[in-house]
Amino acid sequence: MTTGRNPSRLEPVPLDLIDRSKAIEFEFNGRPVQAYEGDTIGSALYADGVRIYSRSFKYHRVRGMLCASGNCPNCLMTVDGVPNVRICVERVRPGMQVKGQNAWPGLDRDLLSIFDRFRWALPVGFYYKGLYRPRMLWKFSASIIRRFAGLGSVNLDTDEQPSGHHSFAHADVVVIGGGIAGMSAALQAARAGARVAIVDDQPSLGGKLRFGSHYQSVTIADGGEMTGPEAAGSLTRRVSAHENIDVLSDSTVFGLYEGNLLGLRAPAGVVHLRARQVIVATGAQELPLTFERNDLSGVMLSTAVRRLVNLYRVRPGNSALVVTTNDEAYYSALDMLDAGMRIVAIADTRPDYRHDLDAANTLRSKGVLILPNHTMVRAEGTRTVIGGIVAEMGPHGVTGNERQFDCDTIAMSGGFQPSSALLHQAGATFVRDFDLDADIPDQLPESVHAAGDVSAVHDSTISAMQGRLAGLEASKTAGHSESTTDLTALKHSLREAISGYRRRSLITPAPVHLAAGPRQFVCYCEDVLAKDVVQGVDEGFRDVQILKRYSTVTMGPCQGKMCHKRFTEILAHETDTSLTEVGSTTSRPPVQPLTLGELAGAMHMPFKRTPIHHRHVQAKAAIAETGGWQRPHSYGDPQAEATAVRQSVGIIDVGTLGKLDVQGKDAAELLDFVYTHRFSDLRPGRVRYGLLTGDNGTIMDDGTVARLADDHYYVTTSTANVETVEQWFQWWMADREMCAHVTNVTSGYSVINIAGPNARATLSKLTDIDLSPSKFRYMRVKQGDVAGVPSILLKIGFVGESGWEVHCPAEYGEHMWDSLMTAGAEFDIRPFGVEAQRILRLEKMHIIPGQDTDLLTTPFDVGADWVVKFDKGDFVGSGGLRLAKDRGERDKLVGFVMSDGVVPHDGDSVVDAANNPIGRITSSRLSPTMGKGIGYARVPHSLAGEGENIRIWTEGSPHDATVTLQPFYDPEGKRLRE
Amino acid sequence: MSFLMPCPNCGERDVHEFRHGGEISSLSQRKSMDDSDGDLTRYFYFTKNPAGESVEWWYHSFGCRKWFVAHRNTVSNDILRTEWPEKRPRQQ
Repeated sequence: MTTGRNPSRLEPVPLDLIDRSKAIEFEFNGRPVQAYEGDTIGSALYADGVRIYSRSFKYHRVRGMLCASGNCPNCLMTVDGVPNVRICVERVRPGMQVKGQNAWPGLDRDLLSIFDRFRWALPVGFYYKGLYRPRMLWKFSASIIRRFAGLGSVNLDTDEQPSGHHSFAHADVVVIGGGIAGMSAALQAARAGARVAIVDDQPSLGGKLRFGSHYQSVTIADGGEMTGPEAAGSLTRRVSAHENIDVLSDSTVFGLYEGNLLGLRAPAGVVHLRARQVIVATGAQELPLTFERNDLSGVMLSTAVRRLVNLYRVRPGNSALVVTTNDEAYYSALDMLDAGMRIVAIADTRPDYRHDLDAANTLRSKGVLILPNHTMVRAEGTRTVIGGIVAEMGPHGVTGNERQFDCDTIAMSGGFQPSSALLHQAGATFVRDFDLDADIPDQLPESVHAAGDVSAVHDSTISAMQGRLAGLEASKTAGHSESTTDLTALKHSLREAISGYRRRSLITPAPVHLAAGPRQFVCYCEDVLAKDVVQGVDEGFRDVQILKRYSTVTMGPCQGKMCHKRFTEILAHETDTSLTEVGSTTSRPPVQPLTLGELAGAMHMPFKRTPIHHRHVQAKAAIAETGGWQRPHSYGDPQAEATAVRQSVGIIDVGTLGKLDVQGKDAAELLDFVYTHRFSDLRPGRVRYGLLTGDNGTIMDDGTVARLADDHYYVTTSTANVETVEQWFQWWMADREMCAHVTNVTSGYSVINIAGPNARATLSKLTDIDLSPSKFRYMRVKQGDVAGVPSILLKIGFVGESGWEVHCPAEYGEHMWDSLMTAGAEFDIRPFGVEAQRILRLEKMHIIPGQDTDLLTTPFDVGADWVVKFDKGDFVGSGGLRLAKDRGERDKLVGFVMSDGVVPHDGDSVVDAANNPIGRITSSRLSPTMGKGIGYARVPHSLAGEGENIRIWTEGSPHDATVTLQPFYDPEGKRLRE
Repeated sequence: MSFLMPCPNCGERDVHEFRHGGEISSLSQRKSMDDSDGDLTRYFYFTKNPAGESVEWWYHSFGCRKWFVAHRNTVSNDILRTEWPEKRPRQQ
């Protein structure tokens, strides 16, 4: 809504953030808005006269700028399609599209504000009370509530990937907060030699001094007494120039995790910042006051007013009523006077204002009316402020002695709550300090320090001293030499200064006067009223944690920054307990919101490719991801590829196989111990199948073990398991103190399996090794040149045909592939993919661990009794296997062949006569050899005999199948011995 | 978990570089064929899982790929010390 006011920009001041030479235009709800570089969207809109920033969560009430610092929920908008952007801290960029949210049809005229008329029908926890029964209703009402209440909506149709980059950084000392305390700490620690990072969520350092008043004076080390802005400038220059300090501006620490790991939301993405020492100098958050209609647009925090005036040079309005519990708002009043506003009155809730406060006396001399012992009871207006009513306070709360003032701005200060969330997360304990009206840090972890307003002492000179002390202690604990500064003297003068502060400060809790009206908002995020909190207590929710969950106070976007203190005060009042007894809710990350996309970061899905990968791409193979590798699923026709292997010759790239080189004097002992089979009696030059189980006897992996020499084995594992197997071998070696070297050589070798009746004729063209059946027998290994490349040849029955696994150095993978393709051309050699391999191996009943087995499958369950050698003595799995053997047989993995033409799917069920599931299909494929569906099924022991009939439920009906325990293809294994 | 683990080979590294390999306790003392069914079952399925100091296997998967033994406080995640396996306590 554009009002008739003309809030033009004020004259420049040294620390303001806008650059008037750079005009920027962006769009707000479809119309252009002018801004300057350095403006936030919020400041530009305010200067443009916009006063309605959002509609509230539940009642769709008008909300305007409140904190101007990104800590309240009032300015959430959708920016370039991203919902819930805090526009009071999001800086303008040319052409950005800004839209209001949670309003229909628009922010200015939101028909959903009808809910505000029905507040009586929507009490705290109304959905728990009325909408859950019957159960059917909840589904319906939940969808309605979700449509009408809440925040912006996420565009679920986007296929945009998160793009934020995650980076990692380390520092000796990390200072969180770039105010006077943080900068003093950083300088002190850096001087002692520590590597310091200072993190600040604003575009420039200085903290509150940036918008501090030149009526306030500050004393800093090596600088003497100066005004706040001067001190900010001086410290900023020194910090920026120091070579030991990294300044991370525009970065928010959203969490402090174990081991002093800080999560940072920085412009380039999330930073994982590891700190040896952490100094928390996060300052304090000014709090709102509760009075009737305290959520009208125009009711602002006193620091928000100062930010608008001093950082963005925007006049907040024409006339202001100031209401405060402390000294700070007096400076806001002075700033507003200087900005050309009229101050209609200052209501101070304290019995008297501080007569020694220069600001107060200056204001009085300028004729400003100061009303001590007064508080605000009502703001006037329906959408924006048109006036306010203050009342005198008596011994029992407000009296009827009221005064009305016309104004368009109400600047309120309900005191300051230390921004101590990170200290809570660090494990600090707190004690209630009734003099300072705050919880102050008591016990801090050794590596965590606090300085500045977070300690609940709001005095810039003291903050500077606290910062220096924290900097000294942190750098000392981090192992850096102490500087010349006298720690003891500093501690002493700090103690003096703080007790002086306690003497002169008049701090009183903000008054609560519930009778002043029903629309006193405690929680702006979730539209929780003071009376809702009271009602929750009346209903028996007397514990702070429970009442929080019931009323949702502190659970909105601000996470308690605005409401926690008032919430606990009302709870204490209503339960007649002290704030110490009430305690507080738990502070958890994130302290400030960040998107899931930012947390996820850019998608990193690394995958592995074999050395021959590009040959598959050239052959237009369909590439699939298996076990982290990209592999050819097929070259177009898996059935034809399988048939080619059976009838002539085929090759497959099996470079993905895990490969371990095991050498050393205990190599044989190691393998005997980890496998169920025996390998010490394997003669060099021979190959044996190996099955790995856990100590409990369940199958982990399988593969082949080739003995190259007495103390040298060459082991293959399944594709996905090589890391696990490598760690497994290393672990048992460490445990048993065996002497061997296990080296993962998976990427060192390229492996091609060549198989089929013409495999020998093809391969023999490329090598001098005698491949004849009598000279190179089944399950033998030989080393020699193939296609001019030194290779290891394993004659194994991979797909049930006579064939060899050719292992050669990875660099020669493509050469080997090309040589085999050329040599096999006369036999119409075909490459085959993973799918054809699966069919071929299934025809031979080779199990795939993980596919045909699960975490409880023992070798006995899959008919692999022959690989378990109990007679070899102790080995991994011997105890578990002995137990399994004693227990007798359970379900068993058996082969099946379908009676009809149907091919079931992996995962289908085996059913009994009543169609109840009694087993399941682990693998199923169409067998080109049989012309029928075949596969593996886990069935009850009673059905596990050869020739048993089972029923398989697939595609909605049962189908008959016959159990078979023999391989479907070449059961005697003659072909692979050829 | 975001603490630092001092690898005896590589020094202090982020815990995400490591794999946890289970506790070393009287329950993890290896049992085999000749042990009773009860002892085997306890060995397979039970751990002490102490709230406090625990002696554990750790493996530096994204580093030197070596197994070592860490004495860790499971409540605070303080690492009291790390050492090579041959120095580990045999019975807890």
